[in-house]
Amino acid sequence: MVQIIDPKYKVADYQAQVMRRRRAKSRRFQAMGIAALAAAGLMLAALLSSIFYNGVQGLFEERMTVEVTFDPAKIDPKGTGDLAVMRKFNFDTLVYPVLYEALDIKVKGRSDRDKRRKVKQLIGLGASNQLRTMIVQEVGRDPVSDEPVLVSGGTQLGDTVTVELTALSTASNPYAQPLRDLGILKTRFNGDFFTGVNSNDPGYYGILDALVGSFWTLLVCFLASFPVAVLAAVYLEEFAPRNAITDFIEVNINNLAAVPSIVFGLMGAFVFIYVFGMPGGTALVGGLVLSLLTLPTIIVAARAAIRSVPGSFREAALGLGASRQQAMWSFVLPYAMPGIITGTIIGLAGALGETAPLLFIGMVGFQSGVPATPLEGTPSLAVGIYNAFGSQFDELKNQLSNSTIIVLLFLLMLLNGTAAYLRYRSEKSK
Amino acid sequence: MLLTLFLAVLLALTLVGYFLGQKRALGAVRGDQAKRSFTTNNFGLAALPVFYGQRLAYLVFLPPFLLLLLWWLVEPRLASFLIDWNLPEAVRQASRGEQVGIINAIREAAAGRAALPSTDLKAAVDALSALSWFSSVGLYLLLSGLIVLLFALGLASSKPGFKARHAVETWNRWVMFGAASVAILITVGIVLSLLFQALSFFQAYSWFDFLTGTRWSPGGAFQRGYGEEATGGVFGVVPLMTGTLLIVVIAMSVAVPVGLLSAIYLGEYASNRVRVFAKPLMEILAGIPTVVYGLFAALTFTPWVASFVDGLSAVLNWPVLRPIALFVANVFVALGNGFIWLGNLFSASSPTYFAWVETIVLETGSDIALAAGVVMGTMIIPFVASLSDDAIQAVPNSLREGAIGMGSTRAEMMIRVVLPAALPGIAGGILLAVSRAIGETMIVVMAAGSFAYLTLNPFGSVSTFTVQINSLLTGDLDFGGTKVQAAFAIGIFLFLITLVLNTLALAIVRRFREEYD
Repeated sequence: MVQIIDPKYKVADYQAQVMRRRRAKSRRFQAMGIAALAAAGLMLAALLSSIFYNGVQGLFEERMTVEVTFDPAKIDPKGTGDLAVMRKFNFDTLVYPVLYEALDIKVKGRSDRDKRRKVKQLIGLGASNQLRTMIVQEVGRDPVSDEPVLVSGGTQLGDTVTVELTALSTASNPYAQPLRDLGILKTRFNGDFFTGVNSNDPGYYGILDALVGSFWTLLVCFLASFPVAVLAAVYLEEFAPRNAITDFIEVNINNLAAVPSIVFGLMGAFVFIYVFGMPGGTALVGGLVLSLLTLPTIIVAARAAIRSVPGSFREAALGLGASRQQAMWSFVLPYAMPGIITGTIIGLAGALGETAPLLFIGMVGFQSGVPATPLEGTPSLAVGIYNAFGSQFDELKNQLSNSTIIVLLFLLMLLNGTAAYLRYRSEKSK
Repeated sequence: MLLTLFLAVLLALTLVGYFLGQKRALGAVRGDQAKRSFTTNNFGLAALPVFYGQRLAYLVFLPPFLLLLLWWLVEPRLASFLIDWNLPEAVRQASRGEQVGIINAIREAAAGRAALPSTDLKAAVDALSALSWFSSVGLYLLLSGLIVLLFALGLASSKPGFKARHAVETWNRWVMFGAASVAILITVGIVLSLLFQALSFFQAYSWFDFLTGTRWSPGGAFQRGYGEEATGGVFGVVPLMTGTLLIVVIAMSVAVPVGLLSAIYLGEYASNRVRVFAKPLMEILAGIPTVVYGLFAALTFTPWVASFVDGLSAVLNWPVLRPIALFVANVFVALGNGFIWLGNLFSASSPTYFAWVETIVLETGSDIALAAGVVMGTMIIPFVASLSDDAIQAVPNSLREGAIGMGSTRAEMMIRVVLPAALPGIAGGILLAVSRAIGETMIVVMAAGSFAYLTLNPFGSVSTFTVQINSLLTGDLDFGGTKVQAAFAIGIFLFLITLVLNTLALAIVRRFREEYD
């Protein structure tokens, strides 16, 4: 190639200039790499700070401390003393006058109507029920008439009691700050979040059922996938003949690892619920669906672990007269176990965060109560996040969903940390 | 109740079999000391005693357990089949809603919770109660007989000359083969369940309209009811295809450059100190569940993008940029009109035309495709990075050394030598990433729209395949309804797309590996 060189440059100058340009280009390329890493880091930082900023707020909640008078003229105007009548009363209306008085809002009349509406929105969804149970409680149903059996809640009509009620949307309500100044709204640690079950009322919302549901789901998933995966890995690695069936199995495992999880959800809904008639929305079906997802992961990890066992182990056992299976069960597999367990934990960590397939099999968390067995309907932690996101209340949608994420991320860290520790320990011992 | 008892007894008998088998084998040789020989083993048995025990346990446990499992899987199907078979002609003519009611009444009557609804249903009720008697009592009697038989057979054959280890290892091999075949079973299950439902869908809805229709409107919840569903919805997947395409393109235009450049930087440039920070960064990005990304995309990132788009609007309205922006916008409008016109070539749905743009206002709603796409891209960064890293590391060092030896700079070596050599591997990795992006659900369910607009506007709201599967399947699962079947029809579409992409990617990657190994 003919180079046209400007005569006013000497050749050495020209070369230096070209080299400068090439080196600058190289630096630019390197800078692009740094920029790419920084972009990824920035997104992660944004993600984590968003989660923690909102999530930590969800760990604290505001409660409303008010002095409520159970006015007999309102609750039981005719003085019948009938618990069924009292039960129908809207107990929220007992709280309104207390708040109006504190905020200096007129109880009647057009002028303050909007203000009253705003103040009413502050009272939590469960407040009415909380007050009702102080007056009247349902202890069961009459077997003959199917009427609810009612007993007194212990508080008498006419009593004045100081109660702590849940509050709603305190972040956006203009009357929250005045109430805070008056000492009616107080911030406290949200203990219900860890001990309660899912609820529409952010004040009562908790993740205990989702935690237990996730536990049952993972247990079923582990029991269904671990033995099958280990046996399959042993077979494919050591005993499978090289033939068309084995090849077909291998192709299937590779493909299954890449099938979108939503397709497993579709298949699970159809096969487990429709064809086999299993109870939908339970940890049993959820765990089985997730086991389809973890199976390829564990098989691949187990095969790698078995492959990495030194050949001398096998040969020593065979040399002492063991059969191939005896060598496998007694020497190779125990030696490969830490690796297999590491792979299993990583697979289970993936299953813990999986959401979409669980939605289709009905794990939507409309049930309330902590599931005692895998046969009860339950949400999982990840589904709980999605459900909280669907709420109309800011506290649940923005904050408690992120608090649940913090718990989920903590569990994932725990699982992955255990896996990393096991890997480290087995590498050290080798 | 009986099931639990039966399983407990079965397990206990298995355990008994395990010990009894050993005892029996040992007892047989102890009684006859003369048979002891130096060449077999200490006890004169053909195998270690433990194998006799294992073999008897296998024999007692496996056949009854497999039969029970099989029955448990078959029984619900058999029950519906029996009801269907015995239904009187009059009921078969009735509407689906009535049929469901009658079938429930039959089930209640057969379980003894209700009286016989009418005499012409007696056959069905009788058949069903016979079935439930068999599955609650008869089956267990039958299986108990089988167990006794197997136990006797096993004990009788536990003779010293019997090669118990061979027997156990054969059983083991079959069990292992069964475990490995589960992978095939799952694939078959996926294909069959998707096909079964999708085929019923295409009986009610033309596959041509499904593939070429430009309107996707499965109908609201109020249309859900027997009989109305067949006419309730319009299922044309073109808007879903464009929506998925748009989001995937946005995601890949984030993930590919960032992932590839980070992989290059980490593999070729970074010092160990940087690597200590950057490797966990990628691992954390990869380990975060998609529902977490989805929440971030919907609640935090979408408002950010919305304010960014507002700012962009203002910039585009500067006097200098305005004419250019208007021109570009109208070119897009023209293209969009052409697209819709093309769509109408194949489908009869009513045409909708965009008007020419006169003022530049970039509108955003509550869902922005760009936001969902960028967050999805972030999720895929570590995936692209690790696959490109594999491909780059697989390039032999001799190529690198050759390039450096010829005097090229590091960047020139990477761009002109290593990357072209690694290109097939990287391309395969990108295909895998695309397939993952198409199948990704939670991010788009939470951050993309639920209404399927036919648009390629990144600031607009679009819907994807996975979003629609989710909205069609959430709520009541009526497997006979068109809406649920439509979800399976999209599902098979999705399965095929990802299958083709994965196969292609694996083929490319494998061929590339062979070149250098």
